[in-house]
Amino acid sequence: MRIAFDMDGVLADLHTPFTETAIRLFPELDRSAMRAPDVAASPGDEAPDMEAPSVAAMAGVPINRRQSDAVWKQLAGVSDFWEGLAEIEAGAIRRLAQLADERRWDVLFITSRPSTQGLTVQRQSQRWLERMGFKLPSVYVVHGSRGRVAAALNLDVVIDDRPDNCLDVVLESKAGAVLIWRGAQAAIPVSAKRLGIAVSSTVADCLDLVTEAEDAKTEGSLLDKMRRVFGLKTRKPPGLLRRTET
Amino acid sequence: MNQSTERRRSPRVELMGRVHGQLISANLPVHVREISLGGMSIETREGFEKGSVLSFVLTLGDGAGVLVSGRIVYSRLIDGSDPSTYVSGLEFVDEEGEDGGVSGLVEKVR
Repeated sequence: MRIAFDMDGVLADLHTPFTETAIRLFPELDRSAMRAPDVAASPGDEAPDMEAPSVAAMAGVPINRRQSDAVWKQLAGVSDFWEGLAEIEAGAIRRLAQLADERRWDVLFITSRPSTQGLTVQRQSQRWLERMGFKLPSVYVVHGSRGRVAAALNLDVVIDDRPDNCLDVVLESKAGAVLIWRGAQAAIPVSAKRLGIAVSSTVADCLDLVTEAEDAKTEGSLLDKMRRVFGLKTRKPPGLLRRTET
Repeated sequence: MNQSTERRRSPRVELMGRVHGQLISANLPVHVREISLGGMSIETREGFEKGSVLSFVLTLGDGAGVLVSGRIVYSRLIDGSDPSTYVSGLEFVDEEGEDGGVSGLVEKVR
């Protein structure tokens, strides 16, 4: 199996340093809103290219673009910033490494992190992953469509905390997508499962379900099994059958 | 949920033209221009009445189909299109409970 993990919001805690910096720079910000678990969990493609800070933004952060620019500028000035993050779920990366070895998974780490002072984003991310227990990590720093990346890399599964990335994956590639949703379960976009996106609240649960799907004795592809394990219902829509017959 | 959070949760995904679907009631092919978890914009050869609720089968990247329902928000003829083509925007609606619900209805296209 070829499985890819997004980093921030899935494995690495960007939320804490981002929101702490934002509150330090802008004490007037709504602290309760800033502490919501989905705030600044993951830098999207809206995150700034540090060489062009005027473009700065951060998806989902309840601050304006000027404030976001300032926060990113501050973080970009921290040497090897990405190496200093905490792991969201302690031990998750070490367990992933063990599973990868036991089950012969090819694991890729995909990120759209902007650059900072110090080493390259790729090197910082590799060093961080090694420190968390994953030796020789394959890190791919990329912006743009996750779906096209998944297709190009022939991935089977993509784990991401951004619903738009997951949607892109299921539409533009043959891979399955698992949305890591750490916020209130009631706030999960209702159309996520409807559009074929699996949802899990933690990486630990996600790994349990992916391994369960891989071990399932039922017929079908890995993706078929994953859909069953993650509770995505199946049926034969009549219109679909008509179309395939013509 | 504040506006910025909503924006993050339903950003549009611009597609490369590979996602197609079908309006179930009329067996009408649709081309998906953009899609988010909140709704989508489609091109069809027919227009739709604002407020009407329609069901579609969309084809995922692996060939599986998903059944979704949406309420038409706007529908207009594309100026100068030949043959006539309409662009329509719709927001997904939750019709769970009807025939097992529409959530995650997936079937592989053989």
